[in-house]
Amino acid sequence: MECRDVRSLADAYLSGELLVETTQALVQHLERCPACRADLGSRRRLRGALRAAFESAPDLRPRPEFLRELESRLRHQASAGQRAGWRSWLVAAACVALAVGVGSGGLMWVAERSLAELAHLAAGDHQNCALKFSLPERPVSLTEAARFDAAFGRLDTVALDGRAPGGEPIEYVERHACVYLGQRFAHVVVRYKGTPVSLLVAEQDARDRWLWPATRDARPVAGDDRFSTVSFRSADRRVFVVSTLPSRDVLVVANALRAPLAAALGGV
Amino acid sequence: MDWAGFEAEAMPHAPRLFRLAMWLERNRHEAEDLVQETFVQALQSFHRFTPGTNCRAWLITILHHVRSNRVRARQRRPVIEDVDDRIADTVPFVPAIPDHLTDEAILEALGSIPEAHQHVVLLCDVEGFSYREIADALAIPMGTVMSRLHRGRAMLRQRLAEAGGREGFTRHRAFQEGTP
Repeated sequence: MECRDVRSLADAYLSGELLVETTQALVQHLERCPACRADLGSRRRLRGALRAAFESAPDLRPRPEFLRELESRLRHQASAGQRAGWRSWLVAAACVALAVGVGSGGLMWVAERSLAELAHLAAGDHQNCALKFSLPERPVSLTEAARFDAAFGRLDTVALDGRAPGGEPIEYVERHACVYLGQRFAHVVVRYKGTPVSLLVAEQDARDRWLWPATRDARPVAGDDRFSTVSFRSADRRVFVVSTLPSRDVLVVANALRAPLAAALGGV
Repeated sequence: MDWAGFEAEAMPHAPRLFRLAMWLERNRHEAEDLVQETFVQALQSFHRFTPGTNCRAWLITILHHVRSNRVRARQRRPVIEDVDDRIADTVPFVPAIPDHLTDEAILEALGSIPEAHQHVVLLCDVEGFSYREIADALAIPMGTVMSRLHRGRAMLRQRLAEAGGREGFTRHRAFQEGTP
């Protein structure tokens, strides 16, 4: 190994990224070359100085109050999430009991609570994905997501634009599969009256078939106070349409795109 | 949510994440906002974190993802342009850096090189990440990581050599032999 080779490999050696054989050859060269030893020492000292300068710079230190506030907020979020998780378990358990002894009225009430929770997740996905582009897990193509739910793959090629009854265009923007707080959705974004609208198809859950009533009409549901949310069922999938537009406009989009969605999902 | 696990595993990295966020944002309010959003999303996704793996690297990956999404939403263009095509191999021979350097000179030199190169140098030489961890965090190929490290370090050494020749030093950081 020549000095030129050592200089080009020196930083990778310090980072532990070299193969064993290359490291051995480099070390053997260093044993007999004081110039390369000096260069390596200089690089090593620079790394140490950079790390020390970065870790001690007073302008880069966080405020102690900020760290306390951060922990407090996260602790509160964790306990709120815990209660929501327990609620889901209670709902599931209640459904079993109700299915045994209570009529369809009771099951409808329990189903509405689960629908509200899923609608809230759909609204959260609209906000964090369509509006803020800030989900921790990267979205994937619908074709790629077909391994989770075969219907997602069929949504990748269907035309999803149209016109409202009044003639205003509903413009297709983009589509993908994404995950929000553990719930996977097929996500189609369209634009109506200049405003983004999300169509979110929830990944099929085995509970869906008996948990939710078979109402197929699109209707507003309580999801998130910041958005209007409309929901309908199509081929055993729960579909949510979410936007900051008024509820009547969101219903227009839902009704305009139900047929092509249903054709792709295999429903009516 | 597993708060106990998150508190033990992730929260200790908050001060270090803030340092990185503050360096990237150069604004305390923006840095606090970035760190807060990073930890909120990390808590929501903590069930996907594999215990025993590098939690700090996982958090920094989320931080870079959150930051790049924010900037993309504001600017509608890539956060980090591919500067490698524009900065050719024109960095000249780099003399040995001065033995005496102030912290301010070091950080000023780091801040003067292109942001894309700053990121990889920070993640490698300060945070101690592997090339693979850096590639995953920044969503760039490993070859790009290695190229930017090579050029970033060369530019850093060049800036420091110039600073050492240009200014006197009123105080210095003593180097320890064998400092990694």
